Parts: sequence; C-alpha cells; structure tokens
Amino acid sequence: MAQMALQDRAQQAPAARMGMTFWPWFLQRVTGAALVVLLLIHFIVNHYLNITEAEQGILHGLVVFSNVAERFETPGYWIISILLLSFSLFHGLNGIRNIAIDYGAKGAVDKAVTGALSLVGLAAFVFGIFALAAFLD
Amino acid sequence: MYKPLDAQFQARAMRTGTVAWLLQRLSGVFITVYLITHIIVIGNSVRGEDAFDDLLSTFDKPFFLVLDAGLLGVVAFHAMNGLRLILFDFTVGLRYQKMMFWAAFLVAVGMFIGSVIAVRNLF
Repeated sequence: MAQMALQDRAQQAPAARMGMTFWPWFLQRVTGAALVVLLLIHFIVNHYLNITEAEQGILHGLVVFSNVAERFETPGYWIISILLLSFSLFHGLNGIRNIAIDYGAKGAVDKAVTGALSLVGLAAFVFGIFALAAFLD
Repeated sequence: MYKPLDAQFQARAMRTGTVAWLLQRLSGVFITVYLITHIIVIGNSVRGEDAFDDLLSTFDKPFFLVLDAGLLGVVAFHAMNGLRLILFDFTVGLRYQKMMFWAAFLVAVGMFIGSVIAVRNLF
C-alpha cells in the first residue's frame, strides 16, 4: 500500500487514498466545512461584539455569565451551540483516530482506539449539554 | 497512505506540502486538546454565576488575550488549510497548492494581528 504508484493512488476515491473508509472521511469534511461557518459566528458573537461593552464597563469582563445567559434566550443560539459542541468533538476526535490509523492502527487496535475516543466524546458531549443548560437557571 | 513522521522527514526535504501536512496535524491535535479544556472551563457554569464569573475574569489579563488571539490564528490556519484539503480531495486547485498554503498562513497571521488590535484597549 505504502509503495503504491502515484498514478494508482490518484485513481482511488479520496477516502481510500488516505486509508480511511467513506463515512469517517465524508463526515470529517462535512463537519469541517460547517465548523468554519459555526466558529466564525461563535467568534463574532461571543468574542468580538462584546469587546466594546467590556471597554466601556457595561460588562465587567469579556465572558460574563448573565451575558451568556441572555444569548441563550435566542433559540438559534441553542442550535449553534449544540452543533458546535457535537461537530467539534466529532471532528477533533475523529482526527485523532485518523492519526492512529496513519501510525498503523487496524483491527482490534483501531476498535480500542475508536471505542476510547467515542467514550471521551460522549462524556464531553453530555457534560457540555449540562454546562450549556446551566446558563438557563 | 501517509508514512510515519520520521519517514516523511527522511524521504524528502521539508517542502510546502509537508509543512502544510505537519502544521495541519499539529494544529488539529492542539485544537482538540484546547476544545476539551474549553468545555471543562465553560462547564464551570454548573457551579453557578459567581464561581463562573470569578474564574473567567482571570482570563481577561493581557497575557491570556494575546494567547486567545494566537488560538484564533491557529484555528484560522487549520480552517483555511482544511478548506484547501477538501478542494484537493476533489482534485481542484492542485496546481496552486503552494499559493493556497501561503494564503491560509496569511489569513492566520492576519487574524492574530487583527485580534490583538481589536482588544488593544483592554490591555
């Protein structure tokens, strides 16, 4: 595989060329492209628009609980937050799995790596949902 | 298929494509570690408003603001270079791969400098 001629590799589907199967490859691209847009919104809304308010002392800091809680009154902010949480966790942890595959993980090793990363992702997702929900109180 | 890291270095000098591949991988691992940290830090919301504001105010110092700007730069590079890689999956733009790497790099540097300028009054 490693010695495969360049021309033969070019004939392969993109996922196979990188030693991946279709769905992880496809979802990595979809979540990646979506994260570009979601993160742009995240940075503008959470970290850019409140700079002036922090400068003028309207906010007593850059990240303030009551200010975040206000944003959660908009349903769209929930959608963006949950999409960010799930997409970023999948994209990051699937990326780590891709590195493991590059270093030769397959079969039982790949299963163990994938299982461990899935557990980390699931735990972080559940904790993240609780963290977001706390802003409602 | 990718070769292991040391084999990559031995096989060829550090050309633009190799540098881009390496930076994408390092930035990806870094951002994932940051992401988990970020979820834990913001997760302090479960401890209530006062505890949350108390903790988050420690990050309003110039040192952390510059780190934040650096983080945004790293994320911007990973995002722009990621879009470049998606194009390559569909064999689009391969002829301009070096130029597109430097474009991604410039966007990242621009975002870093722009962010530092944006928060300058908070220093």
